[in-house]
Amino acid sequence: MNKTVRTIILLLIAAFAIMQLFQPERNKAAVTNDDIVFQMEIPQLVKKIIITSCYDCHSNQTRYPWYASLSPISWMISDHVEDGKEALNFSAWGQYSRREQISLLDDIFNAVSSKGMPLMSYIIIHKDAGLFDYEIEDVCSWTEEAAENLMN
Amino acid sequence: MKRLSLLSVLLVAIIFAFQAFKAPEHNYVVSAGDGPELDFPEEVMAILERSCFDCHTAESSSTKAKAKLNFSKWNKLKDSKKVGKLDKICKEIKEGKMPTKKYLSHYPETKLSEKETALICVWVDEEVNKLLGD
Repeated sequence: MNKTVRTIILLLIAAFAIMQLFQPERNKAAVTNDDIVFQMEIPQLVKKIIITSCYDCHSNQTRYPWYASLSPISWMISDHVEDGKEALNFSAWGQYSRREQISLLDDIFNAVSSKGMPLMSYIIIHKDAGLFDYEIEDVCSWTEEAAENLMN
Repeated sequence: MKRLSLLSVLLVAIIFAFQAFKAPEHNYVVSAGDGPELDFPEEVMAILERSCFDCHTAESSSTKAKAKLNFSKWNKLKDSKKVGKLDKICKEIKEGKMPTKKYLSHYPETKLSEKETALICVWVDEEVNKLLGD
């Protein structure tokens, strides 16, 4: 290995080490009554899917595996979580208006039925988060039922 | 030889990709008889016909657009679905996401003015409140 390559490698290691000093805030908060699981009846199967496949980005309780502590992975996760919560936060379900809740249920239907959600990049790392066709059907039926209930 | 066949596969893939991103033909829906039968106010219909129907009706070539919103199927939608779609219509145009930038680059005249956006959003609010029984 020549001197230039060695210097570059050392610089990269140093940069990586320095990056670790800069970490985003963690998305972890206590569960409140506003959480969707307390706001409405959800079939057991669907509840399990939502928590396993959605909560990491769409709630206030992200699970952080060991590699999530490493920059820049921690920042990528933080970005996903920020975007996810902005679009839909199950932890804050009780704070949404009835109109917003009905609209979000339609969003969930569209995203899940088109396989846009969960994100492919998320499923690759969390293989248990991928949805089988029957699970997609279950979630979609539930969104329709829940939206219907909210209409009354 | 291997490199050549890889190249040709790549080329074919690129050509297919471009097909997917073709802008739809700009067909104005000429009259009520041609387009979806909707019970919306005149001013709203005028905007929808000009700026939305190209992609969001049955004749559209964009499957993605139709999956999200298809005015030809509007009357068959459940009220709960209508609420969701209406809510999103206002959100998307308010955020300037619809019509898409790509579509606007081809048909800049379909861009919604602030006044038109406000008009649609007011109409959305009225319709949603009606449906919610508020």
